[in-house]
Amino acid sequence: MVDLLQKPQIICHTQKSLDYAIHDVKWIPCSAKFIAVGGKSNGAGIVEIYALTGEGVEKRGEFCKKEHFKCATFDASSLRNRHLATGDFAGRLQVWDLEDNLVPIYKTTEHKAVINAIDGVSGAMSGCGAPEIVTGSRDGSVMVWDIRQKDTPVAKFLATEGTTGRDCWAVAFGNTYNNEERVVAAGYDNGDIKIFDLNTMKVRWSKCVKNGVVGLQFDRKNIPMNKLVATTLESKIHCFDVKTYHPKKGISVCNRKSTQFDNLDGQTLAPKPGDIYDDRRFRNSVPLEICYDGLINYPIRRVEKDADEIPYGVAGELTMLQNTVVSEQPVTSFDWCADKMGLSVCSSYDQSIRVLITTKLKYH
Amino acid sequence: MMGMAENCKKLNSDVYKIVAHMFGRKDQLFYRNTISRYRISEIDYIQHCKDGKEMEKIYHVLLSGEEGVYPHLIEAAEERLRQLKPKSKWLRKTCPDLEGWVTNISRHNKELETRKNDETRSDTAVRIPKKLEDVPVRNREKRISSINYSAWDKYDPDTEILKMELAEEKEKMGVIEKQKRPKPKKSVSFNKYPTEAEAVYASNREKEKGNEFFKAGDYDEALQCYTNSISSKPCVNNLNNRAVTYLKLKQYELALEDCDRVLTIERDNVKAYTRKGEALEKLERYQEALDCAEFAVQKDPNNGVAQELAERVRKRCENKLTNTRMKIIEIE
Repeated sequence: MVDLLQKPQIICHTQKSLDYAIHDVKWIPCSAKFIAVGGKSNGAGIVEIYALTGEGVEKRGEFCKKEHFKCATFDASSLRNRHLATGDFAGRLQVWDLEDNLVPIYKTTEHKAVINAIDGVSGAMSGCGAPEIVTGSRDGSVMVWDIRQKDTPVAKFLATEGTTGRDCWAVAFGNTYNNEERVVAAGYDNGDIKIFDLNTMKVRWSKCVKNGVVGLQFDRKNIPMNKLVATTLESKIHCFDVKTYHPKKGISVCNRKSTQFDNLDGQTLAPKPGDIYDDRRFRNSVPLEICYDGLINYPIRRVEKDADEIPYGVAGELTMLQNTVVSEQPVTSFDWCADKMGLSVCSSYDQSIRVLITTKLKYH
Repeated sequence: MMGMAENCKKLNSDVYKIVAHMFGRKDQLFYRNTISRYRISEIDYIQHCKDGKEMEKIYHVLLSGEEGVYPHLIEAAEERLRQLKPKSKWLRKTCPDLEGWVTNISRHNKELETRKNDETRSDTAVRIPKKLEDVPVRNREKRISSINYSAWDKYDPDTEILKMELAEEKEKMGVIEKQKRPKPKKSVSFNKYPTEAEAVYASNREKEKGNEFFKAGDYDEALQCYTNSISSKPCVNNLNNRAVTYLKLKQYELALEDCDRVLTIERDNVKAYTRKGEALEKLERYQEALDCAEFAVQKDPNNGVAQELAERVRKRCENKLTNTRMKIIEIE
C-alpha cells in the first residue's frame, strides 16, 4: 500500500536546452557530474560533460567525433579511471578517457551496424569478475568485450546460420555474484528475450513477449539474478522473477499495461539500483511523456513447491508510484544517480536535458 | 525608456521593479496603471496581497534575483504565499540537502581525480572465447506421419510412455540435485581501497544492497552485505543496520557489540540506544535495557518503539523489585 502522504513526487530541478539530438545521458560515478552523448545536425557525434551546481547545471567540457554516439556507460570502468564506453552509429565501440579524448583508449569495429545498447559490469559497482562490456547491434549480434583483449570479442552471440539476425535493442548484464557466474540478457525487435549464460555458453532461457523489447534490466547486476524487467513497445512492462526456474512452469511473470496510452512509439527503461523502475513512454502523433515508477511488491512467499517438491517462483505485483509529465516531447534516455537516491537526469526529443528529483523514495 | 527610468527614480520601490519585470515592460499604459496600483509600501503590498497566483509570480521573481536581492521581501513573500496558497509549487522544498551533497561528492571526486589511475586491473583473467552451444529443441525426433502404417505397426505406446516418464524423472532429479549443490562462496575482499572516496562508495553501495535484502526478508544475505559495507568503511548507518539484522537473527550479543560501536562514534544515537535496549531485553538484562530505552524516549519522545520497549522492560523490572520487597516484608 502506498500511503498517500508518502507518495513520491517527481520534480524538475533544472532544465537546459542544447543544440543537438541527445541519445543518452549518464551520471559520472562518485561525482555531481553527468555526460550527455548524441549527434549534431552535421552528422558529428558529441560528448558533453555537465556539472550540477547550486543554481543549475554548468558545462564543463565537450568533444566531437565523426559519428553520432548512440549509447554510453561507465559501468565497466573503475572509480579511479572512470572511462566512458560508447557505441556509435557506425557500429564502433570506443572507450574514452574524458580528460584526454584525442584518441580512444580502446576501439573495435566488429559490429556492422549501429550499436543500440551497451552495458558494463565489474567496474565501480561490483567487485567480482572481469570488467566486461556488452554491446547489442542492429546487425543482430550481441558481443561481449574485455578491454584487455584487443580486436576480438570474448563472447559472441549471433543469429543462427541461414537466418537474418533481428535488430537487438537492449542488453543487460546480471547474475555477477562471483568470479565465474555471469549472464547477458538481450532483447530484440521481434519481442524475443534471451538470457545467455557466459559461464557455460548456453542459452539459459528465452521467451517471446510479442512486442519489440526496448529496455532490459536486472534489479542488480551483482547478486544472484533475481528480477528481470523488460519494457516493450505498446507500453508494456514485464517483470520476470528469474530467481526460481521450474522445468515446466518456467519463470513467473507479472506484467502491467498502461491504459492511458495506446499508440506508443518507443519506450526505454532505467531502474534505480533496487526495486524502483522508471520508464518513459511516448506516442507518435501527440508527443507526450510520462515518468513511471513501478514498485515490485513481493508476495509473502516468493517460492512455492509443487506436488513434486520442485520449487517454482511466485511473481509479485507492480504498483505505480507516480507519473508526471516532465516534457512535451518524448524522453530518450534516463539515468538515476547512484550516489544520491532520487536524483536523476533525462534527455528528450526537444533537445534539452532535465535534472529530476524524486522525493520520498526511501519509504518504498 | 527615459520615462521608465524617471518613474523608477521617483518610486524607487522594490515592488515597482518586480511589477515591471512581471509585465514585461511592453505596454506603456498598462504599465502606468500597474504603478498606480502598486503605489504602496512594498512590504505592505505583499502582506495585503490576496491573489495567490500574483503572489506566486512575485515570489518567483524575487527568488530569481533578476531584480536584485531583497531578503526581507523574499521572507515576507514566502510567508504570505504560505497563507494564500500553501500547496504552491514554489514552496516545495525539493531536495534540501542537495547542495550539501554536491560539496561532499565533489570532494570525493577531487580525490579520485588527483589519484587517477589509467590501469585496468582485475584478478580475473580474460574470458576464453567459446562457441555458443545449440539451443535444445524439444521435439527433435521425427514425427511418424499418419499414413505411414508400417512405422505405426512397430510403435509400442507402453515403451514410449515409459520413456517419457523416465525422461521426466531425470529432469526432476536434475533440478533437485541443483538445489542441493552448495552455493559457491564469494571470493572478494572489501578492504583494499587506495582512496577514501572508493571506500565510501563501496560501503554505501553494499549498504544499499543490504537494505534491499533486509526489506525482502533475506537476513543472512543482508548481514553479509552490511559486514562487507562495514569492512569497507564503518559508519553509524551500516553498524546500526547490522545491529538490527543481528536482532532479527537472534544474535543479541553481536547486536549489542554493534550498538556500542555506534555509540562510540555518535554518543547519543537514538536508534542505537533503542536497539541496544532491545538486545539487552532479550539477554534479560532488564535494568540496563530500561536505562537505554528511557534515554531513547527522553531524546525522541515520539519514538513509539522505544516507548513500548520502555514500558515492557519497566514491568519486568517492577516484577523483580516487588519480588525482592516481598522477601523483606516477610521478616515481620
